[in-house]
Amino acid sequence: MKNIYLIGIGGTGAKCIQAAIHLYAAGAYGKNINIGVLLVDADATNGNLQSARETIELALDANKLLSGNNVSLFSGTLKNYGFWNPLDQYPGVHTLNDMFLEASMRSLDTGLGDLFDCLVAEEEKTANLSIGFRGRPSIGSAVISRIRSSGFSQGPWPHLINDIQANINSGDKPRIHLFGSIFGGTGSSGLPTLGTLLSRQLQAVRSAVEITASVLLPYFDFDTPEDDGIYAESKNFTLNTDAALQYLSRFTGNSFNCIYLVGDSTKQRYKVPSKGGPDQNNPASIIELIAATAVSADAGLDYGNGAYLTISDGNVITWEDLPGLMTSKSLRASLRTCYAWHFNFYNELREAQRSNSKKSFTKSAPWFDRFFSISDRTNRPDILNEDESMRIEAFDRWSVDFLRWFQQLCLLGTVKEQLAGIKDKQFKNYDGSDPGNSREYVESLEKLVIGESSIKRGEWLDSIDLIKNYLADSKHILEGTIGLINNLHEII
Amino acid sequence: MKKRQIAGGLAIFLGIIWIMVITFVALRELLPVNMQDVQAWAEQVYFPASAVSTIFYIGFLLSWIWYSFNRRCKNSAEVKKTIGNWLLLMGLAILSNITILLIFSNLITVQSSSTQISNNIPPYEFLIPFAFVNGLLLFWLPSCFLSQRSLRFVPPLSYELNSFIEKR
Repeated sequence: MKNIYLIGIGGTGAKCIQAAIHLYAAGAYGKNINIGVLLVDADATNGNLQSARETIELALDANKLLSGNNVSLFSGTLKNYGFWNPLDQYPGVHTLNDMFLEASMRSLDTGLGDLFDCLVAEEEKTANLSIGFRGRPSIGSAVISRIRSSGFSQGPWPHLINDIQANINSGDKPRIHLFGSIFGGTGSSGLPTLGTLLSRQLQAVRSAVEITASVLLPYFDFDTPEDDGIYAESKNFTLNTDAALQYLSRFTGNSFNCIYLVGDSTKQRYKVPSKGGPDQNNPASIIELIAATAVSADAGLDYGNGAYLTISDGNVITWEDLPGLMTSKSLRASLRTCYAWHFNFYNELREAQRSNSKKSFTKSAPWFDRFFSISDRTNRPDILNEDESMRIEAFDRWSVDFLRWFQQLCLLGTVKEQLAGIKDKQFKNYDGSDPGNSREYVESLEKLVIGESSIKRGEWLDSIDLIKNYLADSKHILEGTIGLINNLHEII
Repeated sequence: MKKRQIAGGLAIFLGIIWIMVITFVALRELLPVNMQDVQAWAEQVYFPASAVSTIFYIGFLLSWIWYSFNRRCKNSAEVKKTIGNWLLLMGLAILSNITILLIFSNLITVQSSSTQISNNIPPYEFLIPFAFVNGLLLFWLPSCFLSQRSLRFVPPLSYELNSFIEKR
């Protein structure tokens, strides 16, 4: 069983984790895989972070209820190590001045104070760090590197390191994969620093563990916020990137088995400027998805490997742009499954739950009794069973999150809609058993996946009715909600 | 070949035997039909009318099979509504059976060995119930096994009948 530990650093790191969780759930990383997730950010209220945490929670719920043998969705286990804020170990500390005790440092040694002045600008010293490192790697490096003094004994780190050690002891070769941008504050300071420190921490067993990273080059820019103070500015992105790449090249070469640089020549423009906090909630980007695909890429044999991942044509994003043997196939299948679920199967299951006679329902839905019991004569799960209701709810909540995420991927950029035709669709949240809020019904999947030949894959797969008919034709090893969604995912 | 298709084929065969042989023999020899020359009437009117009716029944049945094969329903509620079409076809099939009997009875002059003509009115008291039984055997029963795809259980009792031949 493959063990992978994903660490998302900063807002972009969190967005990549969101993409990676969706890839895991969709089966793009393969079956029977153990994924551990840790988010690192100094800005606990960051919108990107909150969005990623929500995705993790939804995937955890679904994983708990829908995993099992022979499943393609949510195969293996997902473990959440939570969130680590590097500032948490310094209660009451709001600025770099507080952290480095500037006044006492200066009184003890004037030279040290002067050095501090050289390295850190005045506005950086007094900037409130509760909303992150303001796009300044110098602030981030100063804060994150202090983990060295605690030796990963704080927050979720001991738990994570113990699990990695346990994997190594049982003969596995775990992989730690870090995500972060290299042009902002938290990622560009945290990713090289944490990678290097983790490598040192695991020095005794270094050959038994892979450390890789997806490093995102500037792929978006935004308008400057209209107020004073310091914040991330897109004009600094190139400079930050240059400095961070030099640092990676000179000082961290042996810390990583492979570094994947991910970028795009065309930058997305985010119209709403943000200094951080809940407002910093950017739409998902294909670049983050490409970064997430690196998790399953071969890291190579020696340290110091690198690869550059990007989109083949700057104007159009196609399925062929997604690296990995399984990525496109799994994502397309998951997209179709979630879409068919959202606009059809979910409604039908709610209808079945409301129906007084399950036998009467199955007469007009012949697939139903292949997965659920309509009498005491079979051992199939009862649709009214609480466990099944919870499974339906868990999958539905995750699928809405997945569809919204995918919709964002398709809508970005100035070019026409890409990958999937879901621009105009509204994905409603789980509505419980309320019959008044049932969703629109859709029968055709014909225009869902863009650029895929229906002749090659079978035209009947574009009709949900024919898919249902296929499901109705034979018995299935997996039954209940788990059986329904996995069989759907397999054939669709 | 699937069991359902075999059962459907057998049902059609049974229907044809019923309409072309059993009812024919019953009218000629078993039932108290009050006609002057029932044998001649059965041979010259009932038999060809039954043959044409059988073709019509099979035509209506094939129409339903074609419809059920090509119909795409968004949901179970839409599937449920197709019972209206099934009932319409079943009704038309029975109606066509009665109409054909009426047409054949009125158009064909029975060539009888007897010269005395006392009563030449067809035995509708038997023919009309037969038409309903014909409908059951040549439309309802085969449609229970031969309905396609999502409409496979639309004909009444088709789910129960299919459960006998295919454990679900």
